[in-house]
Amino acid sequence: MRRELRHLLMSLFIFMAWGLAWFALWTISFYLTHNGQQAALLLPQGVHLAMLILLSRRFWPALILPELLLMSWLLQQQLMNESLMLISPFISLITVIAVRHFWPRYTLYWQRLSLLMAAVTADALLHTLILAPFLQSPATLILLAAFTGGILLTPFAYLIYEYLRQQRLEDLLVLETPNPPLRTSLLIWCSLFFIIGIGTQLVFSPEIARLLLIVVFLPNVVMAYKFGWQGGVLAALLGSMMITIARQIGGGFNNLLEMELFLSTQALLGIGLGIAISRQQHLANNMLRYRQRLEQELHARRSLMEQLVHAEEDARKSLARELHDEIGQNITAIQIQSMLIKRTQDSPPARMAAEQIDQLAQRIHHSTRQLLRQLRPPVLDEMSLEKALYHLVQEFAFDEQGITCRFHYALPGQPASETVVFTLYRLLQELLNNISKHASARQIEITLSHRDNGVCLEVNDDGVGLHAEHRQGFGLQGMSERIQALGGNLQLESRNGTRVIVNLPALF
Amino acid sequence: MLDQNEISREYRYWRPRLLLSMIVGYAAFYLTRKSFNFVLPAMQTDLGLDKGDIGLLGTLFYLSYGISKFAAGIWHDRRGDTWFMGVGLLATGILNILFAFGSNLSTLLIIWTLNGFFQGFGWPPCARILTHWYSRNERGFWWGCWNTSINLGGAAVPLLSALMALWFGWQAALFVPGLTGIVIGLWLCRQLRGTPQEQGLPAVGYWRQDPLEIRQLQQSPVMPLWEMFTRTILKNRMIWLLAASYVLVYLIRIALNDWGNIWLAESHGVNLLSANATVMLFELGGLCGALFAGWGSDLLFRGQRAPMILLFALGLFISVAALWLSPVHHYALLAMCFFTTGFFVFGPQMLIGLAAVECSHKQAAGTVTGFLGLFAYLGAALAGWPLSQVITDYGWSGMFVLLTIAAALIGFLLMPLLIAGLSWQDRSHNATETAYNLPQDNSG
Repeated sequence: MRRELRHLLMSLFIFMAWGLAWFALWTISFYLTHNGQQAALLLPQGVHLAMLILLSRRFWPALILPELLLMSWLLQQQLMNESLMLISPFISLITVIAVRHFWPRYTLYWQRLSLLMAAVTADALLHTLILAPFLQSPATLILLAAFTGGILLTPFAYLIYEYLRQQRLEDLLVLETPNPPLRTSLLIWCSLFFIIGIGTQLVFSPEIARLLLIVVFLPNVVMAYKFGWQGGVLAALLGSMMITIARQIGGGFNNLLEMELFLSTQALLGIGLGIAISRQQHLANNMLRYRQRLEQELHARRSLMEQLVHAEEDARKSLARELHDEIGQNITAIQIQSMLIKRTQDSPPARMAAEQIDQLAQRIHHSTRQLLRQLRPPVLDEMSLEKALYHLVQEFAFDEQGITCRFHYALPGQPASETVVFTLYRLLQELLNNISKHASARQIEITLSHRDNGVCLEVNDDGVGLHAEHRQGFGLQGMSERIQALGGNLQLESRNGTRVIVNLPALF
Repeated sequence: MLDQNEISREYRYWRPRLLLSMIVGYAAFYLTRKSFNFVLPAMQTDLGLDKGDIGLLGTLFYLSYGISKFAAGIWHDRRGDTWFMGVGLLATGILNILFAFGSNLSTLLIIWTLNGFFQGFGWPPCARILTHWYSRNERGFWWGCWNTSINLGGAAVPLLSALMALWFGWQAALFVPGLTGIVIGLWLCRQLRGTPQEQGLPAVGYWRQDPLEIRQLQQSPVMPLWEMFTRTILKNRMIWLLAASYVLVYLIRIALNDWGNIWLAESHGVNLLSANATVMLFELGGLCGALFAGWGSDLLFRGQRAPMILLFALGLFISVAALWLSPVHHYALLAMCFFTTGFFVFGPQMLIGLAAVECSHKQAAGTVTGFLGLFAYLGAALAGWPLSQVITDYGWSGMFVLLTIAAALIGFLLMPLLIAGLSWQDRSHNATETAYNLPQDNSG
């Protein structure tokens, strides 16, 4: 019961408020057109169409009834002559029903605005087709009246509706919406243009016709550019008000047709431009948002990788230390004990056993050292990077294979970060490994230089080169990811052999 | 302590009674206020006053009324005497009768300015009762009902005055309201009551279980007068915006009310009775407008006043333009236009006052509306002598251009209001909240 009462009261409100508003709009249109029928089709029609589309269907009687009542009153007062106009609200209903079918599917503002403009066009055409044969006014005037009224006021009614609907949905707190209608700076600009326009017209009255183009079209374009579709709609409305005021001051338009044509054109321009610019801004904003998200993700990933690299390095370091401490000392102790046995025992089986123990211990020591070396090259703890790398190159024994290897170290010292040092070492190890196994090169050139706050490692060889399929497998992917994690990059060229350039940021 | 049934019974007994007393009392105030306006055309010829003199009388009256309403608002919010309204009405009745005997301009000026002073006693008691006995989710409706008193008094006066002036001369048109004022004033002294708390009842927000009302109660701690005034009124951005639009609303309302019948008589050649009847239609339209605006904002926007004010401002713009551009000397059209304009003017007139009361301190109802009244009567004063100069220099179209621009400006002024829909407490709460919140992820 409460709900029914609510709807009844709302219908009553709409009946009263819309009836009076329709009447006021009719009076203003009558002043412009001096014809009762066209007046009903000019301004009232625009708002009427918008309200039928936007409001719920249960309010249709409350919207149509006051119009019928007022039109009958006007007919009785001899201000309107043709009683056929009484079917005009029902003609609009045809367009409205068709549009409401599509309305829920399109929710973006520009789609809805375009749908509204299509509705206005269809409605104007329908009215002309059905009413023109029976009315005294020429068909073009009827068409233009309905079209102009719709173009001017339907988007404006939509703008106000959206604005008020947002007020309803939001709480009494201010929320940031992506496209809040009617910002205050918009209104200040509107007022500014309006005042400038009126001022220009008052001052330059005789040359109104030419000036109107600048005074009306230019603000339209500027407002649409700056504020999107809301600016376009408001500018269209203000422009039309300025035009009608110009007509009042005297001059500018010879007849109604010309004025209505001018009104429609500048409204269409404003709205169309506004929609186009709003769309572009919307798309650009989306792009920016996605790009920011992507950057955030990439950044997160990079820091994660960097943490991984450091964690790995730390794990290896502690493992190496544990191995060295635990096993190394005990192995040495076993060797000493076996030597003691060899010295103190004379029987050959005992000496042989001690010899075996010694050899086995040596083997364990040897393999442990190799493991340790793999885990954490001790050279780096004992020597500087330069010497360690030199040592590494020597280990590969390229001379014996007949390969010339040149090594230039041009860094100003040792990099501060241990991770960088180890990464460089392992990198060179991996690369030289690849070359010696797969490249069949004759000449190798290794250069380490200081460039751009970092290290640049360059390894050239004149071998068979690396094909794309091979890149995955040669441990280069892993190396490249580690390098990227540390903020560097790896470049690979495969002309006339292979050329690998690695840049790694480092402090010294 | 009363139990729930007794509380409901007490409330249900007092609320309609108080409303009726307020309506009758305030309508009587309007009788003694407007009595002068409607015999103006007759007085003009009798006493040889020109438009400048008439404008001056109007301006001085509105100035003294505005200041008195503000001062009385502050006084009554603190003191809360129940005989306040009755005494004011009595005084205005006496002054009306004295005015009928005035013959030269200075005596008339003094008496009418004093009338303005005592007229200011009418509103603050009504404000206090309306904010304390009726809760937020229904106040639009009750306030709208109360507002009908303005229109009833405003509509009865033209008819009464014109009839009296026609039969007995213009002095009679001042006697009758004067006597009525005295009688009703004496009756009113015993009718009104203070706040529900003074009767031993709980606050209306708790009885009606209205969360917004309770919130306003909680945000209205007891504070000293000056602090309440500066913090909740002077530093509240919303109040200033409402005040600016109030100036414009009153400019339009008083201009059409006071100059409407003269305009009709001069440019459309309508006789006195018809002209007054047309302005009566203005008040009738206003009655409907205030009622509809009140419960419309309760229903459609859940008690938010600003969206309804915006809609009515748009309607006001087109109806003032229609009134101006009404091209034919067609009486029925003009009458309809006056009705429409009245409808769209009284909506904002009522809603702005209501919105101001709801966004400020609970104990400051009379004060804040008195403060707004200063601006309203500034607007009304502008519609007195300054407007008369505009009419003399630029004619009636000049006046209508001014009114149309004013109507457009009301709409413009309201947009920031809708965006900044906070009360003074919410804003300071929000400021501290956002300081403690971490920045949110805005990629969603």
